[in-house]
Amino acid sequence: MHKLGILVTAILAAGAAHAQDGDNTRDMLVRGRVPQLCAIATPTLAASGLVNFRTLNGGSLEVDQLTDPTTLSTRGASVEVSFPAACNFAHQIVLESQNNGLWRSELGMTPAPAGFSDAVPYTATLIWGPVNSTFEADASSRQIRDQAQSVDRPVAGEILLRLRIQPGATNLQTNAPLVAGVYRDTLRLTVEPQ
Amino acid sequence: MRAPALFILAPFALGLASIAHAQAVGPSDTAGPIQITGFVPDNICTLGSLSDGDNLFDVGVLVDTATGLLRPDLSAPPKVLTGTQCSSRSQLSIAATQMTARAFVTTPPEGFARGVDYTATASGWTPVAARYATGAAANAAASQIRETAGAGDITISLSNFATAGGPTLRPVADETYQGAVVVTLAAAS
Repeated sequence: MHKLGILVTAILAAGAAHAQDGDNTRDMLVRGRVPQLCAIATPTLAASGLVNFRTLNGGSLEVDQLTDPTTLSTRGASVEVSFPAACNFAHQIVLESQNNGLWRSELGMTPAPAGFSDAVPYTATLIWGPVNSTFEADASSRQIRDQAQSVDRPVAGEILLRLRIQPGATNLQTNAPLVAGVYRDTLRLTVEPQ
Repeated sequence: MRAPALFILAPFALGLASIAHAQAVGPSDTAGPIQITGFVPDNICTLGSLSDGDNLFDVGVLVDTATGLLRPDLSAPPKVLTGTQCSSRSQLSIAATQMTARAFVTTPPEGFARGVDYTATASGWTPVAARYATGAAANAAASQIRETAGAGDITISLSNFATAGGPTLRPVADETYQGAVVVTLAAAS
């Protein structure tokens, strides 16, 4: 009888050992994903570096006085604009100029008289993460011009854009007088997948 | 050598006694009582099955697509371990690992993170739920005791999702952020 008791006990113990080993732990996975995102917020004017530009009005920047009253040629100007931005993956940043310079924009405009200029070149320096490059809108011809920079990693912070118009810079020759009119360009900043 | 001899002799003696008794009383007979002993060990615990048959907590898109920052309302449907039972006092433990980016394995640039912390909770079995926060240095509440035997369900839930390194960091883009939760139930002495 004692042997019987030992036998029954042994069977139950074996059953208990099985339950402990095989059925007392549960593993679960927790999973999520983060899509590729780039975002640029509304620009603001940097505190310093504002020379001969009026304040930022929405997405519009206006040169205070484009001509020097003495020479009638271009007056120097500079401004720095910052865009809070974030890109959570390796991407590229593209700066595109609609006109490749500030061009006189009147409808049905007549050609500039001899000796006069009707476009003003400028430079746009872009600082973003590892990128620090200068884009030249040289006003050599009126056309779309762009420049793309690869950024090999995620970046969060501010895109800084410095625009600079050199004194006397024109599409004709240095210090050529400017034809009267409104001079315009549209710059477009894009962050996108490479 | 002596002990086996005794075991052989004992049944033989019992047999002789039975024969003698039958001869003395008549056609009916009894033997015994024979004692049968069972033993239930005090260390049997069985975790129940996952109610939905799926071991995946799918948290979905982790970030606000407008800002790239972690969504403050992240959640996943809880899971239930149904049919859990223990024959004695028991200890329920939970552990978890941070959700980390699977493809982006290098150190993220300034302003970014590749990990998301959370708290995993096992409730319904012990008086105090077992909780494990992946971002915590210590998790004293990760193991809890139930003093009584019993059966029931254990609910596993996730909460308190947070970007590793702080809320101002943005998780880097990655198709898979993954962590793990392990729940263990054991008899406690």
